[in-house]
Amino acid sequence: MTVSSGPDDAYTKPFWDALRDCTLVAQQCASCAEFRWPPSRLCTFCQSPDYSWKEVGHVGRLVTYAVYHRALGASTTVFEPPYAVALVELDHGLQMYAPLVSDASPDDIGRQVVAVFPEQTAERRLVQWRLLPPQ
Amino acid sequence: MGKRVDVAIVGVGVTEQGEIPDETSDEIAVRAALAALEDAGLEKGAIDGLITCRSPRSVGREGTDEEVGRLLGVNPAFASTLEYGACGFSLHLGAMAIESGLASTVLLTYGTNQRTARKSFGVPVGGDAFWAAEAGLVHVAGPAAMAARLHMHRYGTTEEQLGWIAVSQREWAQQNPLAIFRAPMGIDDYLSAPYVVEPLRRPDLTMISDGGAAVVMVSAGRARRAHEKPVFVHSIAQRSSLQRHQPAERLMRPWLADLALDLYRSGGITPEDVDAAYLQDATSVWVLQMLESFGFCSEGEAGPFVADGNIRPGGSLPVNTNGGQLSEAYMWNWLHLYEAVRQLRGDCGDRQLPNIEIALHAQTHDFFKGAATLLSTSGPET
Repeated sequence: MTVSSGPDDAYTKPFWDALRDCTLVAQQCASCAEFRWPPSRLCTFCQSPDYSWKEVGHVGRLVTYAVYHRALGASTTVFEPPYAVALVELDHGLQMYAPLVSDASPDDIGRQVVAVFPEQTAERRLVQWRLLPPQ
Repeated sequence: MGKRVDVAIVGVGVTEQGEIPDETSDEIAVRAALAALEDAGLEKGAIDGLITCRSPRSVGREGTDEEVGRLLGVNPAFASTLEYGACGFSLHLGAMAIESGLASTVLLTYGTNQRTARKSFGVPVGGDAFWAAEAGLVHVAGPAAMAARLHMHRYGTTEEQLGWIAVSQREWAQQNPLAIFRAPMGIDDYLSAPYVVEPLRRPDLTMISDGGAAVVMVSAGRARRAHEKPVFVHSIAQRSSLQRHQPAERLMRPWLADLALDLYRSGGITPEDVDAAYLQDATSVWVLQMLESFGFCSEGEAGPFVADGNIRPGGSLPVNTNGGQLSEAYMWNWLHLYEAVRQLRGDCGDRQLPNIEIALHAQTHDFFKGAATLLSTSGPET
């Protein structure tokens, strides 16, 4: 599996740096305290440009998922099917899409998932989600 | 918001659908425009409004009013282009142009050679494309599959129930000579089709195709002089969800219910009054959601509603009687309007719906915005 390189934008560097430390961070608005995902220069709630990067934990809940049985993006898809993509809800209500590396079944919706950070290159780690055993 | 309007459709035209290898999108749009003008019994010089619609992944000036208007050889007083002109949005702009007095006879036209030109749809939907691609979430089938999975989880909807949307539309398509996919497809055929993005199968997704469609509109007051059987644009409504910061709710598109309420309220119409529904179906999931949002069944009940045969030929609510985008062609709801107008005129021959007076025509731009229209055989003066 190959993945495109991260953005060169200096403002997302803290996100990639955190991944290298196996930590997930997101911007928290300095004005209204809402979390932003995906990264955004402006808060979509209050339009403030100010924020700080905060850790958002590494355990979430599986909201829904989809399993790609075919590569649908000849030019842009970087994953080999079959692969799954999860929508995960983290603390603070933050929701993000990321690959799901467990074999999920419909009954797994609502289950806890934990972030894993496989190394892609010496400089770059990815964030993916793995199902936790039922509690 | 929604509004009662006094405009009418007095001409519709289409090209063949599927593969049109030797024409540009703009040439196809012009050919559709000429067909609509002929249907309206108008010369092109009668047009004082032109609205064009850029097809997906247009390049350069392709699809603009400048290019299409030049090829068509017209100098309308009002000319405009919608970057996202899925039929209803163009229709509403045409209604606005007429109601405002900027134009009196408006031509809407759309053409695409997206199949022949091999336009790529394997890109993430909407903004934040980099981050969606990072997650592997490409093509509208991805988020649509997630929405379907969520619907199944919340309401117990089954894959077989979902399958009845594609199967019912295929039954309609078999009677439509314009439809690309007319081979019989039963529920067993559906269930044995491989997944594309699970839980969605090939028949749940539109196949990219070339084609053109055009519409001529005038004020309701002029409509009866302009055409023997005008179809009136009764009410229009739009809503958006542009902020899109809550992905799960975005997938379920709850704002569609607000769009429906706006439309019905402004028109003084209820879902029970609707004789046929034309729901844009980039994926079958859009139909599943809109059947509920537009009040044809309760929230979460669309699965049993379609499995009970309600949207099939002979069912209680004819839906996408052209076959929809799933079986007819990928035309951004333009052919749904073409079909609705012809059904309301009574021009559909063997597959003519009995006693049709009011039709719903609704579409969305993915997760971002929606436009809905009530069409009627009755104008304001009748």
